Amino acid sequence: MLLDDATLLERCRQGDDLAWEALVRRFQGRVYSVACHYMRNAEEARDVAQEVFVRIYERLEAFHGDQAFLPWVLRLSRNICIDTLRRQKARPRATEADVDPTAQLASPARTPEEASAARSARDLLYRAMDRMSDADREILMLKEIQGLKVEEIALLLKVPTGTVKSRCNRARLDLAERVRRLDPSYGA
Amino acid sequence: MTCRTFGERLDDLLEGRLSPADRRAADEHLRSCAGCRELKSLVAEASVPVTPPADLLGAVLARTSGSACGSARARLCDHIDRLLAPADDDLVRMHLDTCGECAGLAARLARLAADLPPLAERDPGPRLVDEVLARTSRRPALPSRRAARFAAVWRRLAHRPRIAWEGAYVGSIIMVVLFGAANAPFADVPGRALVVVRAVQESLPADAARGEVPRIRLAVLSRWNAARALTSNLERRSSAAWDGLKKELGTVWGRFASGKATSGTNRTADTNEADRGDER
Repeated sequence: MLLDDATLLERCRQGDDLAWEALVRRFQGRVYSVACHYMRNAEEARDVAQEVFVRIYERLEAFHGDQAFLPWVLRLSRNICIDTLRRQKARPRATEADVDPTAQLASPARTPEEASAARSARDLLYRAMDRMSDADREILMLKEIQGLKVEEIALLLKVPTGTVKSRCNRARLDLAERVRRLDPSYGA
Repeated sequence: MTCRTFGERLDDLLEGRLSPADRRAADEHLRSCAGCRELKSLVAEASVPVTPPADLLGAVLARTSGSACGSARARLCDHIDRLLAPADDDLVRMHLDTCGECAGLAARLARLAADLPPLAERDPGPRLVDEVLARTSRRPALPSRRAARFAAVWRRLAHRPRIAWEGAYVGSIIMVVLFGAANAPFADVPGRALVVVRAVQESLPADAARGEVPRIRLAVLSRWNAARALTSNLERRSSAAWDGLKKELGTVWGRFASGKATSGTNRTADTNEADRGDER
């Protein structure tokens, strides 16, 4: 039976190293995915992911149990990514994501054919998203990929919930159009 | 049968629902009334389904409200997420039945809704957990880390050059706030303390005070002597330790100096030997 987040956190606060290791294992994929989204470089994303977990460890006591842990982690990850990018501002960003898009956790595909199809679909989505504006990619990442609620995103981005909804709908339509241009058979 | 009755029963007549007697009466009326015959033929033609021209809807919309695709697309994401009210959902569905472009877009959005969530996680490789644990497990426990952090902050504050000025400033403000202002909470404390001291002095009998003075002097002298004995003892021990250290240092230096002299002599001898070899 998997321990829920609250129990894991409580054990981490009590200094249980095993619980901390389990927590890192549980959230590493999410944190790394967010870091890849912002940093767009595998090595930097891993450094940032490390930094995020160290920061989480230092702030375990500051986290209140009355809020969900995942949004807190994602908010922290986003803030650290943005801080890191600000520090690196002088350095030009890569135009293409040099993160391996096929590197995923726990693929639902059961056969090699399914796995190959899933990889090509992911590759297509990454290529389509790579050409979107930063704001649209960010809102897609937060809502459609990470599954945050509209209210949580509004709090994170400091914009009204209506703005989040309209931006997200616009980004989805934009992505659908870009995917169509890359692969007209997508969704047919 | 009158024309009005015929009009009321026309639908039933065309769909064969009239009784034989009513049907006979209707046929007799048709034979005698040209207007009702024309009405019957018009209604019969209109009830035959006719396919409208393909561009009729577009042409009407172009001349009235404009294309409905914009409105449909504005609701398409909510339609995919099943967030629309039933009436709106039906309207979008009807539009999708007739608009191939929007239907294609809806299909792509539905596929995206399924394909995007699995992107929430990426594999950072096997090293990340070990690296994070290496950076966190060697740290002290949370409470002591908090104390250490507090101490570090305090040390940083205390090492600034202006800390003395700031301390004096804050202290002055506290003194003024507590004692100096007219409505300060302890404004009358110094005055009251002076009054208490004077009252104690005045209440103490002079003879008793004179009797206490030698006792207090004796106590002070005995403490002073004890303190001097302690310091002289410490001095004696430290001078003995210093002498021992000097002796040790002298011995080591003597060995070092004699070793250096010996090696210098040997090196000189070796050099002379080498010089002699060269000459040879």
